Amino acid sequence: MNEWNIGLAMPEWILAISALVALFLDARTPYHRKEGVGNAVWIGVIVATLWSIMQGFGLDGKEYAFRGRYGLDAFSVLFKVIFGITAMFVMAMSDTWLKRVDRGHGEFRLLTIFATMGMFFVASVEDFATLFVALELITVSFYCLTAFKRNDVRSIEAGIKYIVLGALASAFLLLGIAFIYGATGSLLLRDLASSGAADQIGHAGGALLQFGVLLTLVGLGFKIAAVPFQVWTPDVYEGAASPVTAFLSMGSKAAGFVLLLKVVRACLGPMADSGLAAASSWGALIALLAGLTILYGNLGAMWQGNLKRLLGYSSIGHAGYLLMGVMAFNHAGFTAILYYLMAYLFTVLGVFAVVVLVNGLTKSHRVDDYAGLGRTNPFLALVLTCGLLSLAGVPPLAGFFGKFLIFRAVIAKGTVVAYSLAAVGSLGVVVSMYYYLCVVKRIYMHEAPENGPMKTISGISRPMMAVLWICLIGIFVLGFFVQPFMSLAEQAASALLAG
Amino acid sequence: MGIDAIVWWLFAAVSVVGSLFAVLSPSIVRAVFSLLLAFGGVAGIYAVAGADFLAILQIVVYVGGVLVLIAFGILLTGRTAQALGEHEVKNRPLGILIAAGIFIGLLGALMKSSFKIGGNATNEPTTEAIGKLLLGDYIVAFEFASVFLLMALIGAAYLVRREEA
Amino acid sequence: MSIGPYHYLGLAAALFAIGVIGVVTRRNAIGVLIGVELMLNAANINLVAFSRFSGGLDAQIFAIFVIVIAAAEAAVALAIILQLFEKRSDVDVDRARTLRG
Repeated sequence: MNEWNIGLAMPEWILAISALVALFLDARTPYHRKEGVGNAVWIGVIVATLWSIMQGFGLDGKEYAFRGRYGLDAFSVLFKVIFGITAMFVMAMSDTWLKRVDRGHGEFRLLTIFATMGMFFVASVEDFATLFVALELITVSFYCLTAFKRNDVRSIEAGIKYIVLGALASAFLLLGIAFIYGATGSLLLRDLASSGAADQIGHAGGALLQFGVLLTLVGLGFKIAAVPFQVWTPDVYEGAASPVTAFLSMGSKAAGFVLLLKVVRACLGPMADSGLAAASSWGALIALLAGLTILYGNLGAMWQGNLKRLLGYSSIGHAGYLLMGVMAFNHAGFTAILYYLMAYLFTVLGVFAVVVLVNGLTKSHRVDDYAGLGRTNPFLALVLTCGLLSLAGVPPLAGFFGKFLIFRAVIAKGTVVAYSLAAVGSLGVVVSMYYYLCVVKRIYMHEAPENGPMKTISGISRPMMAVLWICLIGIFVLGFFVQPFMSLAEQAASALLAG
Repeated sequence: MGIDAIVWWLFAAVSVVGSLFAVLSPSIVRAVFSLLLAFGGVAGIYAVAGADFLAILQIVVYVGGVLVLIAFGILLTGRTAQALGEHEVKNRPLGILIAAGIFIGLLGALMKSSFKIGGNATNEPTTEAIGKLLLGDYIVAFEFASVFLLMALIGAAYLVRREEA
Repeated sequence: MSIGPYHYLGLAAALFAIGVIGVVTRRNAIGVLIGVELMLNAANINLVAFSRFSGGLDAQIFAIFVIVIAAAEAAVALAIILQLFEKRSDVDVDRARTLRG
């Protein structure tokens, strides 16, 4: 564990090199010819993702680099691939979106790749110092990306709200980490798991550690948009450019969950293993947060007339379902979370791909303006419908199976708390069915107004077409051919639990 | 009470008074100058605690960097800072109530807890050891912190640039 | 009496709570930022205290990262605040109300 093993972090180095090449090209080319920058970034992300997949095949247990401060196992590889695919999809959307913007192409792509680098890094975090740096790399890139439309007051307001709440969440996270360090004397996650932290956290004398873990979870809750740090989500989703919203809804949320799972595993894992009584009170706390998050997200989404706002609230709801998996706190629960995130990747990015294209035509995000999409753009309407139904959890689409696994894992716990959480969760599913179907109804049952902006969209770029097809196929494949993906998720969950 | 303790209490008082003024002062300009006191007091606390490198860093980065940055921010948005006057603050009772709750909660948690105390508190210079750790065990975090600074530079430079006509 | 860890932790708790007052009561976005900076300083005092009384330097390293990153974050925050001022001539967080629903 003491060797440097620098090559293990090759995907990150590849991204760093491509960012530097892009920066160099960006400084040398005039405003209208930024293709070189785009190519450098594309190549970087593709090679980094392929490299991660390759690493996944050759992996033997858990490998460490940089004297044990960087780790790679099946769990991190799975997430690196998820982040790589997310980044590619988002870049295809940004290429389409950037055609409507005349300044800042280079900066936008650079910020995107820096955020991606942070996400890759997050998946390999082994101590709290790297955790904090990686998390801030992602978050601050997103502050800039959110406020990126400098001429749009809404975008800047969204940026302010995001950064104020984000900085507050960082402060809580930091205080939490400081307390954890004070209680255990180490910043390494694996020391936490083995340092008898479990004994401390289970007893009254461990108040410092309990408080630390609580504050850390609250700070990470901001990233995944869980109650009580969810307030920013709808505003930021609405105000940011659509590709940024897509990136936030998938990349940022998944990054938050990577860290949440790692921290929960390190702090609470040993306690659950030894079956201490305190484990159930932490479970109840997480269940409470999950329930509140599900209710807030799904009830809030019901009255939204703006599709991006609606997706913002619904993304809070999905964070709640994922937290249900955390509450289950066992192999089944973690597997369910990973499967849910894989399904969510294709589902939510498919939806946002359509949103980017339609917004380019109609300049609007109102649900009403999607009327007639079924007639004018049958393919886009199909992708959007399948995406929304999968988000709602309609069988046999990908989202259904994710929800099924989560609910199964929670109900298998067999406690009163688990049953009530499952009941709240099903209530959320029913409510979400209603508002997703309202959008679908708008797409197919309503005519586009005469002289309205809704027309057939032509000239969809090839990468964009590929994104739409891959998402559509992914939504069905993850619903029908569960087994291969399930075994991926199971391997990753085992790796996480093995520590 | 030894001289150490007196110095410690002095710096603690300075930082608490400074930060109280920084959040309560109706004038935002005065708040920034109180912040100077608070940051300075905290730097003193670091120095008393034997963290000499951090104390210097606190002065260089916080007092020399962040504070100047905030002062510039106020100068550039100054017109409103004065015009706002007494409307500068809102729901103060609520804020103080929440803060008191957090303070009591934190103190309560601290009183009940035992934490790891080991090693001897020394007043050796820390710079060399910190340098070795930064470029040793913490090299990944160090590298990514530099990537972070590059990213923040690009982002901030893009965001403040005025639109050329 | 000599200064023990509880003194540091108490001071940090006080600064953290004072920072919260700033975040909750300031209208001006820069005022909110000041509150957040105080909270970050409080977290750092904790780290320094733990470093002193547990003998390890890791916490000080962590505090260095916090200082560096908080400074850069403040720069980005001010960039966005200035841009808002440019567009709207005020930086009142409560009047940032174009986004609602």
